[in-house]
Amino acid sequence: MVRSVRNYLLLLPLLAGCSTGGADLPTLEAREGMASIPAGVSSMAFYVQIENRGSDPDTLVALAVPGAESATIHTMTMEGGMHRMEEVPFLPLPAGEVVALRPGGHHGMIEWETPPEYGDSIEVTLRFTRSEDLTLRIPVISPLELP
Amino acid sequence: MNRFKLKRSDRFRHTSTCLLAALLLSGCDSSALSKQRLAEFEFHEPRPLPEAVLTDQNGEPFDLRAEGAGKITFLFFGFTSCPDICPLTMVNMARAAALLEPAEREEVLIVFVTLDPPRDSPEQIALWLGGIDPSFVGLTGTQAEVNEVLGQMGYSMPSVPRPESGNYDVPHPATVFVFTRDGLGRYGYPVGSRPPETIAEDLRTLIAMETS
Repeated sequence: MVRSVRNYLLLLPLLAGCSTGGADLPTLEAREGMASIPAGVSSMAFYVQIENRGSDPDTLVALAVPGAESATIHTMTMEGGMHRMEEVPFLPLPAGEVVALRPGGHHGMIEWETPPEYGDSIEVTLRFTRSEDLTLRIPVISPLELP
Repeated sequence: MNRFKLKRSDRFRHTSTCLLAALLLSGCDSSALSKQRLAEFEFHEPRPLPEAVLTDQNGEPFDLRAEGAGKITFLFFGFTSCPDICPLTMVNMARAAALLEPAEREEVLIVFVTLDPPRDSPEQIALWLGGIDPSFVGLTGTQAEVNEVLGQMGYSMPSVPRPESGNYDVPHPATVFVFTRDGLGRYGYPVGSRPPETIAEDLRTLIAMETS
């Protein structure tokens, strides 16, 4: 019991990553991260909220996931009434705003050779142009569990 | 004396009247709102259920037009390797279907048609739907067959570059086609962005709707 509580406490800084940086750097907080994967496929969607609490803008430029084949940022576009998925090279994080990777909008896409199972957690590192990396440990869920 | 202050008996009468009005309004409103909502998504020219026999997730032939006759049919085109909007759409429909009474649920047919047959075998679709709602029907066929079904809904399938390794995107319509009991596709419904309670309410409106 004591050990499990201690392990949980050790995980807390990873569950809600914070990057405070120096005096002139933006202050970023990433929260509510989750990875949703339907049964029987090797691609998962990554969702998270990133708040820039500083007075300077920043930009999300990459995702890194140990063990995954790739991790990219995508958005959905519309052409002739059809949805298309498109990779975006970066995502602006304006000062004082919350930017969400969310279902049906911008989202991360993580490809696996062998995907993790429900109940597992994975580590996702967010890279920015100005702030230090933020690393989150997030749960792997079924789309049925999406809020 | 404050002329806006009501006596106890008046207060009671006033409150009762307000409650009654609210109840009546909410009863009328939900159905009227639902009809208004559906009207926003109504096609100018309804299209009939596609005339097609595809293969379901059990490997059995499935006659779309025959099976959908007399039911409210939701038809969604997508692909199982789509990580975001396809499962979101299907899960929203599953959540809405779970809100219906069993008798209402029997009136509704929810069909997924893959636009990615090279990856979506019946077994793959069965596995995928098993994690969403196994009561849904999932259909596949040859690429030409599913393209033809899409064509009957007024869309043409763009060519899809399929690399030998790695995932690839498959364009698909942004809406779910909704067919009334008479087999006519009357609405293009944006399921992915709607709360399940709203979808369930609209399903009830469609079930109650008389169509000629």
